[in-house]
Amino acid sequence: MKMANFRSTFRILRNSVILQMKSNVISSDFISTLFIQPVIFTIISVGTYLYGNKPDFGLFAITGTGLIAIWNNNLFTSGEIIRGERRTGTLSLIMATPSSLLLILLGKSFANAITSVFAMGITFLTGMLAFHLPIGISNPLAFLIGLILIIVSITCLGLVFGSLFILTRNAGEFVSVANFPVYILSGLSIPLTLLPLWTRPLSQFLTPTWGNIILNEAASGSGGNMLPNYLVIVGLSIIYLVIARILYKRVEYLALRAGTLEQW
Amino acid sequence: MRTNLRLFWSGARASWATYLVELTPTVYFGFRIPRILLQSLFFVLLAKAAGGEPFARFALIGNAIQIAVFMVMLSMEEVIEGEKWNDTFQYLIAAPANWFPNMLGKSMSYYGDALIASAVTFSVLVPVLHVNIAFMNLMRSIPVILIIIASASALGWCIGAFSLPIRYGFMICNLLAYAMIIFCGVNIPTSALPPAVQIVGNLLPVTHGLQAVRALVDGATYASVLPLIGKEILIALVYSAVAWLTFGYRLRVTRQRGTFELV
Repeated sequence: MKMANFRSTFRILRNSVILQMKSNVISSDFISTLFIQPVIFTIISVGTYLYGNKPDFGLFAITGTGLIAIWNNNLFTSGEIIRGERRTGTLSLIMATPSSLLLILLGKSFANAITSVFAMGITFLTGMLAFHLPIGISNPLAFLIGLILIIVSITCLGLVFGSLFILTRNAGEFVSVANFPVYILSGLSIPLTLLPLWTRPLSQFLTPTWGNIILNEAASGSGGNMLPNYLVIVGLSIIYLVIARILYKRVEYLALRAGTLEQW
Repeated sequence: MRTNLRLFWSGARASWATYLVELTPTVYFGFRIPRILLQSLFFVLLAKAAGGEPFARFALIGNAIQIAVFMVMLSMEEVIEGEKWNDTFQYLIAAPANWFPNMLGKSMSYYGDALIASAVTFSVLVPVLHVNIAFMNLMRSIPVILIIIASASALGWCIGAFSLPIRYGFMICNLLAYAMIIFCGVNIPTSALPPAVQIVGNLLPVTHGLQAVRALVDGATYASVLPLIGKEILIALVYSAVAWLTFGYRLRVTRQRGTFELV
């Protein structure tokens, strides 16, 4: 890649990140899913386990809820980005510019993922304040590395959905339905052993599943060598990026062939 | 009376038309129904992980009703707020007709939608999760489920009327609907909650009605749950009155100040 290309790519990413963060600050939906929903979900999940006399599941429920919030924010905002561009009439313009929409989406999704890290802190804080759970992270470095990898990976997964959202006006409906299957299949706050065996391959293809394993092992100190799990997340991220790239190219082709985005 | 019925009917027709436009078969069967089932399934699985089959049964009854509550609250809030976003608020003010029957009519399709949500959840999740619920007992509880939906819709109207001048009505409704899973004893009994939370729960719709439904599903008689049903109806009436007064107040003040653009 030429230096000038690299610079322009970086500039597009940086500006997309900054613009999205500015939008997030004034978005009541983003603020509620980031600050309030994690509190409610933590209380429901931890409270249910405590009522069932399973306090050992407290930490599991908290990390699961944190990942729910991260995923929720990313998916929700991926849908909102496209819908927002469509509503403001800028989607076609962006597609027509030399800057790739995929790159802009990447920057915006990454901004959402970064800000959604707050949600993880909020779930831990809720667990400590509401239930007085003795929560500590046994291996903070492994936890931090895991969290960073998950954020990058979820961003890439968000891109896959973001590409699809270009061709539908039902992104909002899709977002509302796509949340819960991922919570369930990834075992976020619920053990995967409750699910039928045929769902396992689906679970393994989702990055929140591996993120959940890593964060739980790092937090409880029960994990051994974390490297294989890290590599799985990196591998999944690459797969998501490739899928997003293929999807986007297909979507771009369809849009250019039709000469409009209005029909979708 | 005839005029009010006509207003109600025209509102109901508008509601049905909006419903059909918003919910195409693709959206309904591709997104709406899966969402209804998956949201309930998540919370039921959570309860099952915490306490096995008895917890799952408890959570399934709670969540099958909560999903209806969730949907009807959001829809009712939107019915109110929709007047603002669709620029029809000024017509409500200017028209000599009574706004109440018209708005009630506009809510009708959403009541039906909520009832379907509950029915779908029970019909799919009970056999899938092998939960033991007697069919006839469930049928007997339908009138109470309708009361719960009506009382939750009153709360949705209330939030819509209160939040009309601001832009956060939908968000408030969404969060409150989730919070009601805690306060109203959807996943765990209210008796297991701290006293302060129980007080809040007792002041909200759904709590007493849900207790009545649970008892009826377990085979109790209507006579034994009448006090609970009575409380649910009372709460529904209070919220309805507050919503009616607040929305009426919004209309009156807007007319007096001529500031409907600011609503």
